Amino acid sequence: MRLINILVLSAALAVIAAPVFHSAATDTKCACAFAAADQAQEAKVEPAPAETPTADSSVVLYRVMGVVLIVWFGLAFFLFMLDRRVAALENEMRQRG
Amino acid sequence: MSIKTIALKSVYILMPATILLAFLWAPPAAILGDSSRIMYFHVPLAWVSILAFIVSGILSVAYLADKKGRFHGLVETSYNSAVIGFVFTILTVITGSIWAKISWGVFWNWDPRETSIVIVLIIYIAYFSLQGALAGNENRGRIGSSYLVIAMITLPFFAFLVPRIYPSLHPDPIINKDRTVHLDAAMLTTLLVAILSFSLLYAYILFLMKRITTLKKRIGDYHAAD
Repeated sequence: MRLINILVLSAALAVIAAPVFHSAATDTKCACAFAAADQAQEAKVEPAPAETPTADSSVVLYRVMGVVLIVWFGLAFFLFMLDRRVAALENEMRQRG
Repeated sequence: MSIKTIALKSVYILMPATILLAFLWAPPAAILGDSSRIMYFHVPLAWVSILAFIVSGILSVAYLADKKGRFHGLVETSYNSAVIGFVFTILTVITGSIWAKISWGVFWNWDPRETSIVIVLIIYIAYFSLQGALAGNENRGRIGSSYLVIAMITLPFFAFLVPRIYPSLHPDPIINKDRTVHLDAAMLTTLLVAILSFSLLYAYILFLMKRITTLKKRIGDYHAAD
C-alpha cells in the first residue's frame, strides 16, 4: 500500500515537474525568479507593462509555480502519511482497550 | 468520515487550487507586477500566525479559568498552537523578505512591521525557553498559560498598532484606513481562497498534533500500567 502511495506521488511530481524541467532546458538564461528580478533591477531597462508579460517572465512564473507545487506536494505527502500512521496507532490502542 | 474530517482534509484540494489561482488566474498588480503574487502566501501566513497565537492565548485563558479540570489537553493544545504560530511567523518573515528584496532591493531594512514581527518572535522564543526550563515542574502549565495570555495581550500592539502609527514602506493593509479593499475582484477572491486554505492547514496540523499528544499520553499510561 505504501509502495502504491509512493508511486502515485512520484507520478504526480513528475507531471508537475515536467514543464519546469522542459522550460529549464529551453531557456537557460534565468536561474530563478529572483535572479531575473535582480537582473531587471540592475539593467534599469524600462519594464514591460504588467498587462503584457514577456516570454521570459512567463517561463520564470511557471518555474516558480512548479517549485511551490513540489514543496506543497512534499508537505501534503508527509502530512498524509503521518495521518495514516496516527490513525493506525489509534485503532491499535482502541482494540487493546 | 465526519464533517470535521472532510473539512480539514479538503486542504489537500484547496491548497493546490490556491497555488494555481495565484499563479495562473489572478492578474499581476499594476506597479509591482508578478512579484505581487507572493501576497497570496505572505498575507495568509501572517493571518494564520496571528490566529494561532490568539488561539493559544484563548486556550490558556480557558485552562486558567477551568479550576475543576473539566477540559483535558488545553495546555498541550495551546503549546502546539504556539509552535504552529511560530513556524508560520518564520515563513511570513521569509516570504516578506523575498518580497522586500524584489520591491525594495534589500531583504531587511528594519521597517516598523519587520521590527514588530521580530519582537513577537522573541516573545514566543522566550515562551518555548520557559517551557523547556520548567520541564518536570508541576506549575509548568499555569506559568506557561499565564505567559501566553500576556503574550496574546501584547500581540495587537505589535501586529496592528505599531505598523499603523509609524511611517512604513510596507504596502497598506488589506483592510486599510478607508475600510475598503483596494484589490481587483480576481485578486481578492484568490486571497480569500488562500486565507481559507492556510487556515484549514493550520487547523489540520493542530488536530493532528492533538491526536499525537493524546496517543503519547495513552501509550505512556499503558506502559505505566504494565
